[in-house]
Amino acid sequence: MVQVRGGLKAAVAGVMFVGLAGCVSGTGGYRPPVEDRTGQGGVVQQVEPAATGVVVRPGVIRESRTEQTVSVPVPTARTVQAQNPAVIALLDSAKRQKQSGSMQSAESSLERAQRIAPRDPEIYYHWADLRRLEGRWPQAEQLALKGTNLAIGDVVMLRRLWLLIADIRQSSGDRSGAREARLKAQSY
Amino acid sequence: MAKKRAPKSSSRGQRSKKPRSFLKKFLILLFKLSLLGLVIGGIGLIYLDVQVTTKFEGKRWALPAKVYARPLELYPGQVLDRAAFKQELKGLGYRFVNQANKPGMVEWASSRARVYTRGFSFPDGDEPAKRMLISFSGNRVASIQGSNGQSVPLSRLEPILIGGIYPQDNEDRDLIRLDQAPEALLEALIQIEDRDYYDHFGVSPKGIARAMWVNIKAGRFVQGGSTLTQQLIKNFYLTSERTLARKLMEIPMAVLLDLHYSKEEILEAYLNEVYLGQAGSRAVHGFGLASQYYFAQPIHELKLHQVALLAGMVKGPSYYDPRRHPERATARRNLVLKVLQEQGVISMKQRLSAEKQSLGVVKQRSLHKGAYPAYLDLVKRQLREEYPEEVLNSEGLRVFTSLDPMVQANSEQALSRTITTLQKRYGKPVSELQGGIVVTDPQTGEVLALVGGKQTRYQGFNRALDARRPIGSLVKPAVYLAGLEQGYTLATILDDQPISVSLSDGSSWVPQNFDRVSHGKVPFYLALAKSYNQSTAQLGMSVGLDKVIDLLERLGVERTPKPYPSLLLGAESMSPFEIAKVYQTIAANGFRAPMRAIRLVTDIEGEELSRYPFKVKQVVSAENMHLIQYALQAVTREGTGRYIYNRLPAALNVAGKTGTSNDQRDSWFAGFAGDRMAVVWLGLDNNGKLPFTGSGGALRVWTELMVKERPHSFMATQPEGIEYHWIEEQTGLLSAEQCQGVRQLPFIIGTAPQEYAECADDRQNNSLDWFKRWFR
Repeated sequence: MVQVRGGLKAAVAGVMFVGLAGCVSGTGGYRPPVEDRTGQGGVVQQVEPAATGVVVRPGVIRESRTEQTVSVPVPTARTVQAQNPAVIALLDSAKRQKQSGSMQSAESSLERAQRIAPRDPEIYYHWADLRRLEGRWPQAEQLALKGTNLAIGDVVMLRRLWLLIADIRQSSGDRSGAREARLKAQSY
Repeated sequence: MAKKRAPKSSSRGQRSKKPRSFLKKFLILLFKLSLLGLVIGGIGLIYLDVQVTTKFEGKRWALPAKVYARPLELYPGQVLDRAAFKQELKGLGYRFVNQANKPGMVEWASSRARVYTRGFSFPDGDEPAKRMLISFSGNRVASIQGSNGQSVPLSRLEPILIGGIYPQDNEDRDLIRLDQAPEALLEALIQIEDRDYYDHFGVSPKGIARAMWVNIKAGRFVQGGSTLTQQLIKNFYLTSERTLARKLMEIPMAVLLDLHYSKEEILEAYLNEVYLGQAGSRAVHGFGLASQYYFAQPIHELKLHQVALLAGMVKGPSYYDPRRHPERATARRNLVLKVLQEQGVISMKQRLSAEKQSLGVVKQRSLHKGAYPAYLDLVKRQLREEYPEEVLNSEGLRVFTSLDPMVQANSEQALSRTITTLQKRYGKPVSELQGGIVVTDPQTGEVLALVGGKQTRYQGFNRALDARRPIGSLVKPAVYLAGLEQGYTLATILDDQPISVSLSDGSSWVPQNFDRVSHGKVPFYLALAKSYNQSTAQLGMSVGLDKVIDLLERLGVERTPKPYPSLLLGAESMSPFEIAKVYQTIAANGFRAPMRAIRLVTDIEGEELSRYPFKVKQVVSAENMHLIQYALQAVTREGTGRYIYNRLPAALNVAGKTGTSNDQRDSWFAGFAGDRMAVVWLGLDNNGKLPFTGSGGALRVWTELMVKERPHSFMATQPEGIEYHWIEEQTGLLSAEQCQGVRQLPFIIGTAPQEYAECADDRQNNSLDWFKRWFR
């Protein structure tokens, strides 16, 4: 988040610099919105020509003189976020409950953790492992895959998840799938 | 009677013999008759006895299922709006005091709150009552300390009860045990309703005599002289008709009940049976529920003045209704207090201080129970798939849902405020403007809020579930995804040119752009961002309708759409809830999860009956999902959804799509931030035309909702198979950062264009020269 914000800031600064330098380029097509952090935080806004909605006047209007702003932020490398103590506590309970065989309680703990930190791949790792222990292979694999989707950039987590997927596939009899997953895990 | 008569008859009978034999016969007949009467009476009594005992010992009441909102989790680091937190505590009936020394109390200060929770028995474990000091920093929970200073990582409040599933007679009650009832309540009931309760045998001759005396003195019927036992019999066993037979049955039954059961058992049943008011169509029975209905507090937390009011209301719940007739209710309450003091139950000081209190009844509008008919409708529909109606309305099931009252309140306000604004602007054509909203958490798939119409407390047409309307451009992400899966890239140049498709009935389909202008060559991502119809139709026809339908189904559409070309521009009708499934999957990076309103159902003891677990299935590759999410962010940054950034901070990433149906009859917006996905529909129930598009209407509601929600930013992660390149927009060719008219676009590795644009060629050479010079 911080990095994306940084990126945006850089983009904004760039735009303002170009604007100040008086470099005027053609306005072919559209003008991207530009954040203005000097005023009260208005956003350059063109009212859609076709739209007949309420005209809202932004607080500060600054003409953008360039087309080069990338308005849609480009993702930056994911920084591994510190886990919330609440999530750590819930994952600890889930692990204990899973080990003692109380799967329902473990699942409840994981659900609670998921509501607090729905993007934490660790939660999906344990959930997938729970399903594996229950022998519910397809759901185990899908949960682990969901974990890999959220773990992008976190190589340690990705390796663990792919090893788990390899295990799950092996157990369900999908040998070639397991091999693939193992190779994938080794690539990290 | 026969005996008394006998001597008289015999004295008369001395005159002749004939009458004597008649008399004898008569006596025998009388004897036989009374014997028969005794037998019949006996059988009747046995019958009544069986009646009395079976009902009392069996399941006494049909207990409606209780439906709860999500419990509010509390943990350090949590984003929690303090005003919303206060609302939550008020909804739970917490009292704001100077010293929170009992459960259900809060000390509220500017940056901290000491909360003494009541505790709750959750299906996954008990949450004990505890005293916590919650410190805020801004709109975050900074720390939570337990009663002896230790830090608490996680705790949760009791869940707010949002409704029930009632039987035909609409009787509702919260069962309480005798020991939960405040002592003062029992005393007040006995002093007011039945002073000899502990001494009589079910009926009280003394009480009847006293009532008669009062009635004679007053010259009219004032007191009934019914004991609590008789009142219980009347409500519990007998119908409400006032017939002689009923009156005659009441007394023996009261005696039988008294004979079989202890005074305590009978009193407990009375506390739960007695009728205490009417909440719309729902009949409020028992003190447990009445306490919640009038004070939003559990019965054992009630104070003397509240207890006195409830006890006084037994005599006439609608006559003494404290909401409608506060003066009558106050007078009645003070009378009860007076009697209690006169009988020595309370002191004069207690009486005077209780009399000074206001009635303390909460506004009916502030009650959460019955406040969410649309959400409850969804819950009931899901429950009915699994449970028979009689189980739902009589077994006292506990249903835990994911409704978030804070999100629900924000959604309702966003809808009603925006509708008011639009009505002011557009006047009569939108005087009947309606809407529907579905809000979910994209990662969990839980339904957080559901708004079924403008009048949110009115249980009417549930537009969020039942208003099936053409979805317009909301369908386009599926068309473009199908394109991406067929090898298109975000930079592929599409042709926004007129297109004509011949239909099987001989007619042709000739889609128009909204502004009636063809835009010529447009890059793929921009055609979606600007919602151009002709390029979309061109794309969809070349990709194939079957591919688009397949994608819609994978994303979550359950009813297979018909393969008409008009499908490509959203002729298909769907409810907000149905289309929400599609956007839910897009928001969750292509992992489809069921949209769940119910978390868990337990029986009355808390045993788990059914669980609705989180399930996922990846239906679109992470790479293609990343591309479509880029384009949907372009919608809100540069396209038809730009209005959003008039109100939301630029640092907050959101993505979504506007939708307007043919002839502008429906205004849609579906979009998501990091932790909120919401679909909004605006339209008229009579399907009339609207003076605004998706961006002029539904988008405004959506934005208003997100302004209030302050959601997390949507963070796209870059899958391994994705790389970003600078692209010249007009040509879709590779370019360089320094060139004009370029932007960075994501591509699946190996799909980026190979050719360089003119500018990039020069730049590349220049920069290479520069690079070479540097290392020379």
